[in-house]
Amino acid sequence: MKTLVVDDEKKIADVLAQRLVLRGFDATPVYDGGTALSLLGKGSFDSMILDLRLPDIDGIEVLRKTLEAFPHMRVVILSGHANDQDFKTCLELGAIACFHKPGKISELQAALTQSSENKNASH
Amino acid sequence: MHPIKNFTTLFKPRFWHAGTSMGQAQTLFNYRRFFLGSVSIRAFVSIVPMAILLMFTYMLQDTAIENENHLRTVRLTSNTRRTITYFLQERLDALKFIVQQKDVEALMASDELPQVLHNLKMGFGGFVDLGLIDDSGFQISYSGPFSLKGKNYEDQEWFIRCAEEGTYVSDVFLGYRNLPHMIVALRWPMEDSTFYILRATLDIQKLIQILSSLDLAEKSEAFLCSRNGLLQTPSKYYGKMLERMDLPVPEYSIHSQVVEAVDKTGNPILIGYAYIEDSPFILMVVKRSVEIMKGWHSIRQKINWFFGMSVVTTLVVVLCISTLMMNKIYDADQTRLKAIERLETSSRLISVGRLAAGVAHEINNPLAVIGENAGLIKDLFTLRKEYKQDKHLMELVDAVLESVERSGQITKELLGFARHFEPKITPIQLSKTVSDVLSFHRKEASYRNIDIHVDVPEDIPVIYSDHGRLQQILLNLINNAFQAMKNGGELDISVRKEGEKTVSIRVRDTGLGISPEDEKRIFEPFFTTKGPEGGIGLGLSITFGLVRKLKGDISVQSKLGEGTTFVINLPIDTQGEIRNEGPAR
Repeated sequence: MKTLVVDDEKKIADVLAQRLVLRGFDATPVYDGGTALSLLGKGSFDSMILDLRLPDIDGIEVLRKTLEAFPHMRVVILSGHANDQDFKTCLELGAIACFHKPGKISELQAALTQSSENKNASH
Repeated sequence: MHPIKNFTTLFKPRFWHAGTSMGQAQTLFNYRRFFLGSVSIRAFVSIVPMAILLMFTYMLQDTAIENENHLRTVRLTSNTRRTITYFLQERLDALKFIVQQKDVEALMASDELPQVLHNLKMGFGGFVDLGLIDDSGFQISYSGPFSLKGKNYEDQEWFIRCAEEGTYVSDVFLGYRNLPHMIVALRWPMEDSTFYILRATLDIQKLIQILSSLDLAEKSEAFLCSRNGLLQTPSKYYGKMLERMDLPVPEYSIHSQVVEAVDKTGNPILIGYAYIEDSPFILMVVKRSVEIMKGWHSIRQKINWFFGMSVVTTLVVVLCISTLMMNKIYDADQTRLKAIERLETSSRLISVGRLAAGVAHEINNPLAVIGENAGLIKDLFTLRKEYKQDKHLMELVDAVLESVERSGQITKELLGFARHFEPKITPIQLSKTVSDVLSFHRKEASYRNIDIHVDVPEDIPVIYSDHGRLQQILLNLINNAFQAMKNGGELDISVRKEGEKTVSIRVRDTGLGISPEDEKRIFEPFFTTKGPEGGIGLGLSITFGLVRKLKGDISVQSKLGEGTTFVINLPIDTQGEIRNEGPAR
């Protein structure tokens, strides 16, 4: 599965991508919303892990734009600053799942691959 | 006991014994001092002017009455003196009349004088004898009970005085039949500058009559005395006839006078006196001051009684009103202090909340980094055979991951505490909510033998509030209750309607209880009585925040060793409350 990992913290995006690779994903780390959207346009990604706090565009905007352009995308939100309202909005917009940082790799993995389940809010 | 207690609360303000239990709270002023000061000043200002006025009035009255009395006495004395003067004058005028009418020779005839005397007796009354004396003091003619014809009065004072002054009035003496008499004499000048003297003796009945007919009060009397103080008419109180009277002889004065004096037993008296001109008499009108004032004194006693009652009433009213007012001020001040305390607690909570949220957010990121990196390490280890076999290494990595997870939980709790968003208002059936929450604890309650009583009456209305938050509030409180109790305790949950707009939920346990010092701090964040394993002490402060978010309030009552009761008051219409108050903080 081709996955885009979007997080403004380089350390997190890189390490998360590496771990996904070890689990068989084709993961690419990016560090801002603009790069993410342009990459999505160029390549065919299946899923995305998205942090809501990005340096250039608001994470929720990125989510909206992504799902507008690629409605089939499985987007999992992983954020350290969001509140329940934000997560609710994301779910309404079409995200698969929302997690708080620090996230569990197993849960992220499950959300990316499983179908139509795990529409969890915060836990 | 109760009626008496209630009675004293009318007088004693509530703070009298509260005193130092206020502790460090700042009261507006020193209540006791203010109360005492206010009562004293009020009492003083109410009573003292009255008292002064009363005294002043009494003094004025005294002066007025005194003046009045003096005036009356002077007038009476004056009038009486005139009467007596006229009386004496009349007697002399009678003699003058005779002298005008008759010739001296005629009177010398032995039967003329008796006739005149008889006429005088019939016409005037009081004449006892009549005598004619020549200018050498020789009694030429006499009519009367004595035989005085031929007597010589040349050396006698009366003769000399009468010859000089033309008329003479004597003082009283014991005369005929040892009854008191007096003498009047008239000089009868002849053409050849000789003279005769016509002399008459009078009894003093008429005089006495004049004096006794005066309208005097009880124990007051009028009498005549001579210029050296011998009583000339009878006196009831001041001595015997013709003896020295028991009063001092007053000073000479042309006009009638009034003096204040003291009689021989020390009683104050008022003496009106007048020197009767051309006579040896002094008219004395003596009044007892006590008798005069008697009427006034009884009135005054009544006034004084009334004054006394007024003073007592004033004091009572002043005390009651002061107590009432001070109680109100005290209550208002207490309310103010409580409100300030609440505000402080609230704002403290908010700052702590913000701090907590800030910290949590900041920590979450490095935490994520640690977690991911440790996770990656574990992943890599799992791939490499030599590391995969090393249990110790894996344990180390797992320990790191575990701690990351735990830290994550803590930051989550912190964030939960600081959460800011609008509550979701739905209609809530409290009985159902309570039983839902209790269902989490049913099992624990049964094997720990904890009795659960739920009392939600039929008439509790559906309330509009945030269901999730309400559940969390109740859950927190019930958790605490279960933690505080040993096995075999009791948990009481009851709901009541408080007035029109509020319901109150009461959660009571029979657990350890909270000490009075701890009670004050129980809602503080990071305050816990549970010891190091018991959590970070955010539970009740979170609950406090939740209750406030629902526009309610929460309070605690506890007794060490007996148990704790939490009381939550919630508005029935939370949406309405929110609308009224504006957006949440």
